[in-house]
Amino acid sequence: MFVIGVALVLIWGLIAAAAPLLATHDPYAIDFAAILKAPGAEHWFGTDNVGRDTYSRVVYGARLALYIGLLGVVAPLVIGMTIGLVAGYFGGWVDTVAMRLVDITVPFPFFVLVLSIVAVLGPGIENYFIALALVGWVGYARLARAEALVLRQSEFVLAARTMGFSHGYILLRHVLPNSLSPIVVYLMTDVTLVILFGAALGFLGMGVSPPAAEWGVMIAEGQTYISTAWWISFFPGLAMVLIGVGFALIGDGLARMLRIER
Amino acid sequence: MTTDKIIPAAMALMLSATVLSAQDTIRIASPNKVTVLDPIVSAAGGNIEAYGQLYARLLRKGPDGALQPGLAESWEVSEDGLTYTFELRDAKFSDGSAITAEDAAFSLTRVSKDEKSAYPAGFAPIKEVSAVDEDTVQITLEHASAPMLSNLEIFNAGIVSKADVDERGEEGAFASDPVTSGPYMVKEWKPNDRITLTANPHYWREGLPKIQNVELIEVSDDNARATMAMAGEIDVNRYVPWAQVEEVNNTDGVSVALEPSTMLYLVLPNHDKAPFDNLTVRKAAAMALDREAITNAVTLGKAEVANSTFSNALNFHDANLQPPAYDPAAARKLLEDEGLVGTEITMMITPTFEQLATLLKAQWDAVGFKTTVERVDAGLWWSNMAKGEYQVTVNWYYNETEDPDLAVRWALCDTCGSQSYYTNYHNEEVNKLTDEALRERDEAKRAELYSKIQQITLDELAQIPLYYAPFSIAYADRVKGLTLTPALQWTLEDAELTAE
Repeated sequence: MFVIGVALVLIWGLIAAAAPLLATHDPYAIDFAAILKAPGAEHWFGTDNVGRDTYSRVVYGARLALYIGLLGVVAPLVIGMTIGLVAGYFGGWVDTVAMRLVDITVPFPFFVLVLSIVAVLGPGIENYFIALALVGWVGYARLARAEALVLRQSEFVLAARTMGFSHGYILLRHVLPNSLSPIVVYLMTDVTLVILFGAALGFLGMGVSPPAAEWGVMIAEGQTYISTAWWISFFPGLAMVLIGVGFALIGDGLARMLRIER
Repeated sequence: MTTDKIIPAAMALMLSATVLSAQDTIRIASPNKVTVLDPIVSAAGGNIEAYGQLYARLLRKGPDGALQPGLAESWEVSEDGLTYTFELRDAKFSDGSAITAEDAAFSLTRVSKDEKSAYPAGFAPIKEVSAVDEDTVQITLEHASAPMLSNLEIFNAGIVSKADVDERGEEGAFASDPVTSGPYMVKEWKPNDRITLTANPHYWREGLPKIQNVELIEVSDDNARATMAMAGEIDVNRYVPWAQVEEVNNTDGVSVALEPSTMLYLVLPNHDKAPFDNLTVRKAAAMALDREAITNAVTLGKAEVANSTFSNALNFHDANLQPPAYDPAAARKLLEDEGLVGTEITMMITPTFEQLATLLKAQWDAVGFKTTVERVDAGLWWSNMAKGEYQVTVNWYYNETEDPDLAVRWALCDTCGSQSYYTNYHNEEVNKLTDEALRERDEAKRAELYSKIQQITLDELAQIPLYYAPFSIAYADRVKGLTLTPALQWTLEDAELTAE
């Protein structure tokens, strides 16, 4: 399973990298003569309501999906790990403050919170990233804190302390590397979520804005045609499933391997 | 009789009762909301459609569009066209009280003079409305107005009960159960969900309406309405998107009617702001557009390409006019000659116009414009329009009557209240012609004046007309005789539900 996941993600990576080579049409080219054409030899996945080639748009959409998925997790990862490790390692009031912050965000469904922040800030992918940075760090923080709580009592950390190394050095060289494995597993599921939510925002008109070849936007554009020109929404939907499954399988596989190691 | 016979008999009775009541109720689903029941305070689509059922007017329109007696049995217009005298018939409000000249005078004074009146334009020439006696009402005008009679037929000229408003106050009288003069009265209103109407037993047209109950249901999602219509949960789908027309027609028991409307889809340039204050730019923008291809792409061939700044359903629409023809090379040449290639334009749209905007941008950019699309919600759209804070946009408008006077005042005359549909298009001659045409009582001369207005506004590209869209409405087969008139009035009082 893990291998399939890696393969899927690699394939999507290749598709994104080689999009200009793989696309058969300009993903933004409007063609009055080819509006709402069904899948066929000329347009493999059909065309949308302004005659754009769905296949080429799905291919280019991979770039946006990966860009959103990979970039969207960076800030939450960095912020969450920093807060979590510091809180768990030092304990005391630092921990209390950090965990109260976590408590504030946890009761709200993640997507609702992201949606409201984007609604306030205005549509756009930058604001989605900001919203993710504001709420997405919580999961990482909890994991990192749990690891740090255990690690700070471990012999090698105590040894390092007695040898007089600074807290910063210990956190970076000992605690951080040893707390990584559950976080990497979580990171994989988070990438999936970030891609899906990014598309959901695009669908709702609050993420990437049209005419971008973004899967969520494409699904929204095909909505009124769902019964007459199903291909407009179907193929970007399928693409989203395939990329999501890829990352999820990698996450699952990693979790299993790490559990065995322990 | 033994019990085992009573039960089936009772069940049969109950069954027939439910079947009967189901046939007595017509369910109309619409994306348009009913938000207020006072006929003068709103001119929004959903309210207009409800007002028509609740409040009868002095005149009504027959199926052929000709004016017929309504609450007024007969009327007379003075020689100079300044005095209109109406004789009211013996009609009653839904509470059983008589509809008197005083009620008519009260209602028409409200719509023409009250500050809250949302759409008084058609009644602007009115000087005074007075009750001469119990059943004679007289309207005196400041100046002659050719469309006065047809304006007295529109949605906000409905007659309301003065006694009820006096008693409960305006707030109370129209809050949820107004006293009505039309074919229906309110049974129950759940804002943001549905309004249920029931036949007014005192309606003046005896034996009408034939359908006992009407449910006006709000369903904003196009796909949800389509599914409900195909599943038989509703009888009428007020708006079927073009893409769904074929599919609905292929479903048993329901079909789509494309009904004439005065809706005109158009590009609105802001004449007060660069670059669209420049006629060359407007010309190039018009010539860059293959309006036929755009119309076919957006409406899937269901609408007609517009040829004038008037809707083709309006009287005096001039079918001989033609806007600049599609000629991208000539459009580019125009821009090149004035060094305008690369002119940046920002097109403001609401999300419903995404497809149209994509097509416009493609064709404009092809001749040398650089178009940016700015997306706003409907509220911001209107406020930006009113403030003139936009360069170019797209939308549609419709007219309440077939008479073009109100349409011109709304969209082409800048001193008539809405700054030419907020485009700030200004032409002194058009303004003058607008007034002249209003006062001109000779049909042929009016036609000439309106022809001139269309010619001028098309030459100057006050707007770029795109297409004339019909209403696209799905009816269940059991609904007979129901249409939506171009004035947004359901012909419910003449409609019937047949047993399948």
